[in-house]
Amino acid sequence: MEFSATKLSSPSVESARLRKLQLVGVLCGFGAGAWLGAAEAPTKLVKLGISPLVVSLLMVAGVFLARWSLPALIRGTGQMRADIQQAPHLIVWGILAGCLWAVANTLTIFAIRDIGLSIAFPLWNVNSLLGIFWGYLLFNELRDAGRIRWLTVLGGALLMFAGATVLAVASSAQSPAEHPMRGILAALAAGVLWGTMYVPYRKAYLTGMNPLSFIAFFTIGELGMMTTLALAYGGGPVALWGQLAEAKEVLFWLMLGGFVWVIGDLFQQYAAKYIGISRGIPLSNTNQLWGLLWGILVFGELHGRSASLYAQVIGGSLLMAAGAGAIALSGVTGNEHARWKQAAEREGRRYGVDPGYVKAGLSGSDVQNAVGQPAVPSGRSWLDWLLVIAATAIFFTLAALARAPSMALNWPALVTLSVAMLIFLFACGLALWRVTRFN
Amino acid sequence: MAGMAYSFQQPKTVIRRVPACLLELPRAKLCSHVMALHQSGGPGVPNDNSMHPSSAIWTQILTDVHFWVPLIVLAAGLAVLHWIR
Repeated sequence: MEFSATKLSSPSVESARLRKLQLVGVLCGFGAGAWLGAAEAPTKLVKLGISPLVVSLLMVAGVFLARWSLPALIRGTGQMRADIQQAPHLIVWGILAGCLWAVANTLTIFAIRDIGLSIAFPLWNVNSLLGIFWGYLLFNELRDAGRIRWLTVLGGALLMFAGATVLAVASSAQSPAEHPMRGILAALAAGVLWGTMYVPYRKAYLTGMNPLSFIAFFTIGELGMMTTLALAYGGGPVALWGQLAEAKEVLFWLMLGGFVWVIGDLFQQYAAKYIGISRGIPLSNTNQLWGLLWGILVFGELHGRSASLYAQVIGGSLLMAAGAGAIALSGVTGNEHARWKQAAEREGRRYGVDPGYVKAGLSGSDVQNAVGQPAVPSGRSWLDWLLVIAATAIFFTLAALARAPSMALNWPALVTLSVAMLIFLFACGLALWRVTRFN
Repeated sequence: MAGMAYSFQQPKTVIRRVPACLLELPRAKLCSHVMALHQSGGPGVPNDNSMHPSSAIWTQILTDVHFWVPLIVLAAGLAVLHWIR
């Protein structure tokens, strides 16, 4: 197989299509923020006395169900198989990324327990700065992008970090730290792990992998690592089973949190694919704003506090929004995209991936057509329907066993935020379908 | 798992040279597999045919510096978790 450099460096991805893909990527980045922010709410259940490891394991179980059933519903497992045939090495990368995620997620739960969500959140959001670093160093992102784009991306990320810090300071008064140093270390370590997790993501998407295929293998690493941690630190299988049985009334809420997280992460993956990790991660980090909205509006956090505190919260939110806006407006230039293609070409050469597959993946077009393979039937097989039905049945069963936690909730705010999330889901899904057909 | 998947990867170089309609025939599929076994792996893939396919993939992964970055970070994260739990 000859890998021709000219095939990728020619103007194969037209500028109009490139603009469309970038718009889809930016929209997905914001959609990811909305859904990832909502997924943080179930971590409040940690205060109900459930071990952080069990919370993390249950969220990952929900994630596992969603990561196999959603791709089966959207594309079918036949398409996933075809993707893996093209780039089998990405199975290993997917599993590695899943392991990173599982350890990071467990660390965040320890961090929330020790220093509170409001301080921990901005600390682990340093992952966006690390993502910019890895994107530049390993994948040619922001190379030949020009000073203005460097300024907008880096400046935007720093603005977001500053805003996140203001928000943390504003809301830290209500969550006294029990073990500050331990919590800060856990949050920072989670940020480093999550920032580095985007290395496998970018590796996969430069090679043309479809996010819906990648996450299916990603979640094997997640569940495998999380089960190992829970068994090792939870006192063995019998003790773990006992804890799971005790937590049966909240199983549904935690797994639902994992399910919501998966939808956000899926949009995050598409953002990483079409606008790179240096822009995609900061945009998805707007989840902190959404987390704050859920905290203040739905759970009544900061209720009855001083006007100056609210001013700080609004100021921090505006800083974050300004940073996200700057990054969203910093499009990828033709020169920078050419450098992305060089990185893609390097990956293709190393792993012997078909250039047509890489090119089709970068432009979000039909991969089977591009590599001259007969098209994989786009319908759903019995296996796909089995996965969807099994996941739905498990969720319904757990919902029947669930008991609503005794928390005061502002239902109108909850409904409003849920509607906003559904609008993002619809808008991102429609944009992805129109531009890429989920290819 | 990687080895099994790699056996799928090899025929794709041949598929590009065979009309798609012929690939529907089981015999043509078998031929393409046999032909693939006698081909070099192309740039980036070791040309040593005596090497097992999964070994070739693992060689590429383990010699990729990008692989070691997340692996080392993962090990460090596990150490932090072990310390703080």
